[in-house]
Amino acid sequence: MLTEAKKNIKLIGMYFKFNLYSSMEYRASFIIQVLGMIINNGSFIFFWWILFENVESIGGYGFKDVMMLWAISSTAFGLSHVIFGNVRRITEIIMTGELDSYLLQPKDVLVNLISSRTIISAWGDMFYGIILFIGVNGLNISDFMLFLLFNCTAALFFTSILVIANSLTFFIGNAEGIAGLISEFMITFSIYPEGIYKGIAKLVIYSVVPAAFVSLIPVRIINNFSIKWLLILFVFVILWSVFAYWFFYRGLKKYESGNLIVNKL
Amino acid sequence: MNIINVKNLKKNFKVKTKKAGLKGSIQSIFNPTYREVKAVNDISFEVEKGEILAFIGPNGAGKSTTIKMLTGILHPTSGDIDVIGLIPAKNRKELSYKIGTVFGQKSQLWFHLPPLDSFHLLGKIYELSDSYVEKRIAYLTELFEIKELLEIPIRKLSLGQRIRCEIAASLLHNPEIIFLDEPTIGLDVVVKQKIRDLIKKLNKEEKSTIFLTSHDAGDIEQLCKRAIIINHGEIVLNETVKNLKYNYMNKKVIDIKYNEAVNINIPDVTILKSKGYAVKVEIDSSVCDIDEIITELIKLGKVADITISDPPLEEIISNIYQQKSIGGDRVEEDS
Amino acid sequence: MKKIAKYLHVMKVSASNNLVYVSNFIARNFFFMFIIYIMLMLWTNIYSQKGSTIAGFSLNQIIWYLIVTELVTLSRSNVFTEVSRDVKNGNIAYMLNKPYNYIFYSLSNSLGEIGVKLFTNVIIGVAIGFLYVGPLINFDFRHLPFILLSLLLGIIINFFIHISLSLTAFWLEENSPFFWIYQKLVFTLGGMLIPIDMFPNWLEKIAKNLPFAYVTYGPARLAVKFSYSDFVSTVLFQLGYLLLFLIISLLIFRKGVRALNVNGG
Repeated sequence: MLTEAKKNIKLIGMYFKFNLYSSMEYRASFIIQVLGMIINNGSFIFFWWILFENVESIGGYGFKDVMMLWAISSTAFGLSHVIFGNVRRITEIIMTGELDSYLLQPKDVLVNLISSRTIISAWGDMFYGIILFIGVNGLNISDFMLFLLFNCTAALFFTSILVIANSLTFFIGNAEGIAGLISEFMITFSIYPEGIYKGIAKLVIYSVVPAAFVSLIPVRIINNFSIKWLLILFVFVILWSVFAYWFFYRGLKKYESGNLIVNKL
Repeated sequence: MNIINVKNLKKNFKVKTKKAGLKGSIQSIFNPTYREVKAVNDISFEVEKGEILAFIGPNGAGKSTTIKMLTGILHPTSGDIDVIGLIPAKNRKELSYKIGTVFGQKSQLWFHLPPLDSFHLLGKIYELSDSYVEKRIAYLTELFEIKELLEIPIRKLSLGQRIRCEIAASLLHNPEIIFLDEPTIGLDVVVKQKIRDLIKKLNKEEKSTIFLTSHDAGDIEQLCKRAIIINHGEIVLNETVKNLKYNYMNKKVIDIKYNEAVNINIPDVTILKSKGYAVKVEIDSSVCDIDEIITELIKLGKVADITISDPPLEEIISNIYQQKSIGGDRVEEDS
Repeated sequence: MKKIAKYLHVMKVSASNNLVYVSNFIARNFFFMFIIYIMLMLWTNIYSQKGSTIAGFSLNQIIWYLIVTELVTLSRSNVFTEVSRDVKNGNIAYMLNKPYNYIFYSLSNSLGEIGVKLFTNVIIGVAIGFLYVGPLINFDFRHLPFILLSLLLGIIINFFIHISLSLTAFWLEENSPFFWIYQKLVFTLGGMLIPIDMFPNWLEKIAKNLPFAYVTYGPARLAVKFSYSDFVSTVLFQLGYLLLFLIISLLIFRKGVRALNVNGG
C-alpha cells in the first residue's frame, strides 16, 4: 500500500517535470495563455470592487474576504489542472478508446491517466491566486502556510469531483455536459460569500457539490483558527478522494466488460 | 512451446437497439431494449514462441475484441486465456511488462513532442534504467531507420514514419510478444512493404513472437507461416500459409487495358468484366502458370496498362466457405 | 392539408435529429438558470441590508437586467473562432472569388446561428425571471419592439467587433488574447454583471461613452427601465458604433486580403 502510494507520487512527479519541460518548448504560447488567464480572473476584482462601492459587507464578508475566497479557489483549481490536466478529458478518453493505451501500461490507471497531461492556462490561475493572496493578506508566514495547505485540499476536492463526474460516462454514456456543469457549480459556489447561500443551496455546498470545503471553510479557518473545522476538512477530503478513486475503478470494470464500447457503434 | 493458449473463448456484448424515428429515439431513452451480440464465439487456438501469426478477418469479425482480451483490456464472457503463463484479465499489470502493443489508429506517443521525448518517458513508465533505455533507443533507431525522425514532433511525421516510431516505442521494454493491430492500415504500397520487412526483421533479430491482425491478404502471404481466419466471431480456418495459399488464395485478378479491341479465349482464364478495351480476368494459379498466362495475354494486343492483384479478403472467405461445404477435395500438405 | 403535413414532417425529422444535441442544449440552459440563481442569492442578500432600491434598480429589475445581458452573451455565435480558423488555414482564399462579400456572408451566417440560440434562450430566460422574481415590474408590451431593436443592434455590434478582432489572424498566429480581453471589457465596462449606474460617477461617465456598454448594458437597461428619450440616445450610440465597427472590419479585411496576395497565403 505504502510502496504503491510512493510509486504513484513518483509517477506524478515525473509527469509534472515532463509536462513543464514540454510547455516550455512553446514559451510564447505559455506566456500568452498564463497572462490571458490572469487578466480573465482579474476582471472579477472589478466586479467586487463596484459591489463594495455600493455596500459595506455581503453575507458578513468584506472585500478582502471575498478576495481570499478567490485566491484559494483560483490557486487550487490551477494546481489541480496543472498536475492532473487530463482530469477534464476523462470522458473524451473513455469515448475515443484512448483509455486502452493507459490500460496497457504498468501503472495505476487513474493516476497515470489524469497526470499524463497539463493545462497550460492553469498556471495562470495558480499565479493569480498566489499574487492575490499576498496582495490582500500581506506576507504572514503562518497564514501563507495555511493557504498552501488549503490549496492542496481544495485541489483534491476539484480533482475528485471531476473524476466522479467524468466517470459517469462509464455508466450513462457521454457525460461531458454533466461534468462541465458540475465543474461550473464547484467553481462558482466557491467564489461567493457563504452568507448568500440559504436553504437547499447551503445543503448542496456541504454535500454533493462540496464547494464549502474548497474555500469557504478555509477562509473561515484563516480568519478564525479552529482545530475542529480543520479536522472535519481533512476527513472530508479523504472521504471524497477515496470515493472518487473507487468510483472510477467501479466504472472501469464496466469498460472491461466491453458493453460500453459497443453502445456507441 | 506455446506462449499463448486460448480455449473456448467467448465474448458477448449487449447492444442497445433503437427503432427508427422520433418515437424510437424517445423510447430508447426511457425504455432501452438490448440485444446480445456474440462478438467472439467459442474460439480456441495456440501461438508458438517465436512465431508470426496473422489473425485475419474483415471489419467487425472479432479481431480487435480478441486482441483486447489477449492483452487484458477486455474481460472474456467465458473461456480461458493464458499469455506467457498469466491470465490477462487478472494480471494485466504484470503482463504489460512482457508485451508490446501497437493499435494502428491510436497513438501512444505524445502528439506535440518528438519521439525521443516519448521514448524517455515510456522508459520511466516501464521502470527501465537510463542506461538501458539509451541502449535500446540506439538499437531500435538503427533497426527502424528513424534516426533522423527522433527530434521531429510526431504531428509533423507522415503516417508511415509515425507507425515506425510507434512500433519502436512498443519495443522499448523488450517485450516477449508484440501485438500489432492493423499495422499496415491506411499505408500506401511502398510503405506497407517497408513495415512488413521491418516486422520480419524484428522477428528474426529479437526472436519475439508477433501476433498481428489485418484485413489485408498481402500481410499474410508475406509475413507469416500460419494464419487464422476469423469471421463473425468464429474461426473459419487455422492453417499454414502455404496450405492456405495453395487451397484458397490461388486466385489472381488481372486487370489489362489494351490499346485495341481483343478477343480473349485462353483456357483456364475466366473473364470477370470487359468494358471497351479494358478487361478484368481471374486465373487459378494452382492449375496454371501466371507467367504463361500473362505472356499469352500480352500477345493478344498492345497493352497500355496491367495490374495483378489478390481478390479481396471477403471473396477469399466466401471461397473458403464454399470449398468447406463441398468438402473432401482439399489438397493436403505433402511434407 | 398536405402543405401543412409536409412542414410538420420536416419539424419532426429535425426534432429527432436534434435529440442528439439535447444534452448540449440542456447543459447551456442549466448554466443560465444556475448563474442567475447565484445572482439572485447575492442580490437578495445585498438588498436585505440596503433597502428597496440601489442606483434606481429594485431587486426585480436587477434580476431581469442580468437575464437580458446573459441572453446576449449566451446567444453569441462562434464567429471569432470560425473566421480566425478560415484565415489561418487559408480557406478564406476560396471564399474571396465567390459572388458575395465575406463580411456580410459571415454576418448572415452568424445571425442564423444567433437566431436559433436567442429564441430558445429567451423562452428559458423569461421562465427563469418569472420563477425567481415574478414578472418585470412596470413592463409595457408596447415598448417591446423598441427593446428588441436595441437588442438586435447590440448583437450586431458584438458581431462586428468580433469579426474585426478575428481578422487580425491575417497577421498574427495567436490572436485569441484579443478575444479574451474584449470579453472581459464587455464583462466589466459593458455592465454585464453589474449595471453601469452603480459605478462611481467618473467611471460611469466614461463607460457610457464606450462601445462595450452598447452590447449589453444599453439594451438590458432599456428592457427594465424604458423611456423614449433613453431609447433615442441608446440607439443613436448603437448606430454610431455599428457604423464605426462595420467600416473598421471592412478596412481590416481589405488590408488583410492584400497582405494575403503579397505573401501568397
